[in-house]
Amino acid sequence: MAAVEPSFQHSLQALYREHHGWLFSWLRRKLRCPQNAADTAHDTFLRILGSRDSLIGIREPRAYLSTTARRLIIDKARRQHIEDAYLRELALTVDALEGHQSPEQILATLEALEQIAFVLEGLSEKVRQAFVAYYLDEQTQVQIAQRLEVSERMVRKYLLQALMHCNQALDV
Amino acid sequence: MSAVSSDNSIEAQAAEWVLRLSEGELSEQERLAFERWRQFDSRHQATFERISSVVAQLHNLRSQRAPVRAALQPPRKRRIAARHVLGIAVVLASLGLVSNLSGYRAEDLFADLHTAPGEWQTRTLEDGSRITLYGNSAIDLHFDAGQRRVELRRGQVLVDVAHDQSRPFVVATAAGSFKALGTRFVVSHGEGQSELSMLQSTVAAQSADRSQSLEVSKGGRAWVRHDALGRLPDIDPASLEQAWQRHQLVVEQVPLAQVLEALGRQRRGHLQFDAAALAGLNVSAVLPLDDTDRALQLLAQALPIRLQQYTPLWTRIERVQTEK
Repeated sequence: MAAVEPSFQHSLQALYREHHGWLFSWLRRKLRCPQNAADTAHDTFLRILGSRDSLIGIREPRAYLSTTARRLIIDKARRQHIEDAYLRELALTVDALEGHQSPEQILATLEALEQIAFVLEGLSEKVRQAFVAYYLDEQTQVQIAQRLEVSERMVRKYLLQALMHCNQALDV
Repeated sequence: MSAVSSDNSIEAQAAEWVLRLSEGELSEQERLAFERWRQFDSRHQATFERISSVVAQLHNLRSQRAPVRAALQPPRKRRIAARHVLGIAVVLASLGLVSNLSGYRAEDLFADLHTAPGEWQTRTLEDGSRITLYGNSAIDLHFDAGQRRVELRRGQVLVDVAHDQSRPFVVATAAGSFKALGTRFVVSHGEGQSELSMLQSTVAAQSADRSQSLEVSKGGRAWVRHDALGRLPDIDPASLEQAWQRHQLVVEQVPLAQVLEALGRQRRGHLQFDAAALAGLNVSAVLPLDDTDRALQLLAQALPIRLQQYTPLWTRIERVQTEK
């Protein structure tokens, strides 16, 4: 195993010292689970260590860390699922859409989906369903309440919870 | 510690405003409160924009609802759920029970047609009838051996009914129903009231409580509420046809607030205005409904109003004071 060269080790140590605490608390807010947050923070640094990316000249270390952590959370299998599910359904509904999607559009959509999936990660199933039904499917709060078999007030609470979660996921 | 708790409360307030803006028109008082809140602290606006950006991202994917929904469904649960529902539907169908369970969710799952704001869609139904959904509309289809029933949940549809003597064709809304035999017509529904406009032949309109009914012929219009109905001034069928074909809003001497409401339904995001302040401004115009940004610009060129865009989700319209 090749030795880690000192400059990389130094910058990694500096990154850890200065931002590990921040990363941990960001993940804790995001994942709502201290254990999981601690593991993910640890894995984030492990991944950076493994990637041997040059750490010199990173202007936004927190953005770099949160992006790396984001990729960890939405792991490869999940990204594959997003892509498969999207493309499969797209093929089914392609007649209904006016015109067809260019490869660039599909890529842009997949990227947006990955980000939305990350933002929604950690929400409870009902909160996630309420959020998607309201902002994607444009169902009313009354309709969502009926579907989820909860009160309208609860639906509103779910939506607020999801919106706050969006902030936590993006607040770097 | 105190910094953390105040951050949390900004987040809660911002979430409340984002939700409030998507729930409908703000009152004048709320608008002022929002304005004050936004300008009070730069973190307020930043948090508001951060949350809005996720909502906007989801909004922008509305034209591809089905694939987007599938992709966002967590992997394991989805497969189980889909199989489960399909299983139930197949069993019910083989027992001939599906039609008896009106309102059952599995049916919705297969029958729903939605359009996003500004997006039109035309479908040929299994009986050969054609249905066009206006932007921001939703329908359920209930077709079986005895009936052809389209439930309009919101928005507008233009129906071109294929002839079938054994099965009446009915468009139903929460306010009432419209029964046709070989005919072409438009039904719109919103806020407890439905409206019918006849393009060809005749339709029988009925209030939801079945106490009132009325026959309407070509060029005629009617409104229907839960327990009442009545006639509206006639329309010119040819120009209504054209407006549907070209996705236009054709208005003649209609209050601006009403026009903005119609445009707002075809927009992603919120269109805000104070109807009282715009009172007295009337519009005669042909406006593109699938490009509401342009429609608003056309209005701004012709009328003493100003457009302000705060975020992609939120456009405000203000009256400009003209010298008298």
